Amino acid sequence: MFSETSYYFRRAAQVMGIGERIQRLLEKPQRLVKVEIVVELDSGELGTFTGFRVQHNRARGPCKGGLRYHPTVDEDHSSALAALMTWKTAVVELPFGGAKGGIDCDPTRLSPGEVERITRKFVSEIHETIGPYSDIPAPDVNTNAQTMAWIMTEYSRIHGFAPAVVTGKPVELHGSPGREEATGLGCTYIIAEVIKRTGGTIADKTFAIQGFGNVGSHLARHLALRGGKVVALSDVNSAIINRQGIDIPAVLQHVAEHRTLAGFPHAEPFDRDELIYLDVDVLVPAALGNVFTRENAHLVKAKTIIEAANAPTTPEADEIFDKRGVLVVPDILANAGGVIVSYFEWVQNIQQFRWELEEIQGKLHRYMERSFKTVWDLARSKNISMRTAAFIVAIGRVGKATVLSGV
Amino acid sequence: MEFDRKELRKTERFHQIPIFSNLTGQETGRILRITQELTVPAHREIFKPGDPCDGFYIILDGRVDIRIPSPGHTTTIATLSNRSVFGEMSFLGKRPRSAWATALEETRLNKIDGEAFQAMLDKGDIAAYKVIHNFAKLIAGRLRRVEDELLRVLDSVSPERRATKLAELQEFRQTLFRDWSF
Repeated sequence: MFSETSYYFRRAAQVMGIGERIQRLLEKPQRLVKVEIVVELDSGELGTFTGFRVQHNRARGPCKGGLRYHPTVDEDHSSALAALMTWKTAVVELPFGGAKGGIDCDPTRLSPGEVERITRKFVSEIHETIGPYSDIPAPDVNTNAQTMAWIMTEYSRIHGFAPAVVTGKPVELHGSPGREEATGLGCTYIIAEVIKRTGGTIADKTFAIQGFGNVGSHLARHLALRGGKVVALSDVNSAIINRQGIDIPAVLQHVAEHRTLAGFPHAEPFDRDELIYLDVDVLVPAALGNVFTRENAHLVKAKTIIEAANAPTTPEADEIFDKRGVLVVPDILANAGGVIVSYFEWVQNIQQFRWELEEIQGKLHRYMERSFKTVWDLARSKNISMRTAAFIVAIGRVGKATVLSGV
Repeated sequence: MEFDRKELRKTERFHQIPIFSNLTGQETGRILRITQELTVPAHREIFKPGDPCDGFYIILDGRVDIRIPSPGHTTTIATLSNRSVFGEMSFLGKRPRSAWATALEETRLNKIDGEAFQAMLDKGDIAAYKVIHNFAKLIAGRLRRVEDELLRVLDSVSPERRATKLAELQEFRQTLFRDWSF
């Protein structure tokens, strides 16, 4: 994952003609905090965990990025993901820098009480590092709105009422309306922008979506609302296809009841590994990383790929898509809807004024539309891929902020 | 039964140590067999430069100071805490110890026996090779940090390099505002 971010960063930096020293300067995280978290486990034993918070670049504003609870969390991993957040916030013009962090634990083997104690202890160790104007965490792998609520209350216990210290909070506790559907809705706006330029409307295109979690399900719903024909869907263990278009409200109902796509009556089951090879207009990976590789990229028939998931394309596959003229909207742009509404949540918390859902959706639309246009125009004028263009826009903005504030 | 549970907990704790994190349960078992747990009182020296190398250590609980000789005195190069590994440099390089390792507080350690570990390598035991691979990753990270530090030091001591750096920054600034407006 992190070698990919670094590869795409360096490729864009070379196109821009940036020297090796400056590249290193921009790639290196500015601050790395590592803490020991010691808590009493339910068994009475003491458990020791290591927590990290990496702030990659603060030139454009307070740092923003997720907190994940996973055994693979470490310094290098967090640093690479923090850099990715710097580029993502810059490409959609949010006044934030990038951060990432987490705790090297396996929450599937911990009780909710243990996870809460670990979270609160983590906050007591890093409360001087995070803050509404310095570094604002958000949910990530194995963390959720409840985790954010614990962080907010623990931080507020030390510093006084401060809901803006984290985003992705429950709507009942200073969270923002529209946060849950934000990534899927943002992808829908991106798809509309692509189609506006390549011809036609959403209503006369076919779509296949890999992954039917938070992102995939909201995306399918919004595409269907606009008349789009979603012909194939997959989740962790099943896939369904209907060439006439899947009835999305019915499938959402089915998944709410059965927690799986399998057994949905108005579509045929098929091999979920085959989804990425379907002959559709738009293919959306919305689940895992490393979906497209050197081995399979030349077998993909779709002419447009929207990266709703993080890092679904390996650098080798990216070169193949580029040569074949497949239009790939990169993850740092396509799935930025989540962090944009996180930003809106932060703004609402800071000004203590709650916005209506329509206002949030309208603003999200404008952010996605404007960012897409900037990247698209640059890609066209310089004859480069959307991914390289997105990285150039991001590096340009971070670079300018850096030199203007004085290196 | 109680014994089994204890063993299981030991294996789980072992898994949280980065250099053992990707070992399977059985592989961990084989490493545990050549591992000895020891407790070192505060301020006790664990080894000193010139001592023969008889294995490497993992800190279970406590802190260890690593110092190297420098002209006229000694310099602390690292203060290590839980789950850190030390003593691996002389083990991998097949040389006597080159540093002092001292417990800063009462410290519990796991010691991996050098000869027994070498025997596992000679037999082609995948567990030992996974550990060696993890060492390689650890050392690559360390090397990268040393390179960054070296560049920084070189830039700060040489006027010529400093000038190049400033020129590069100046050019970066011009490129950004001239060629990349969006």
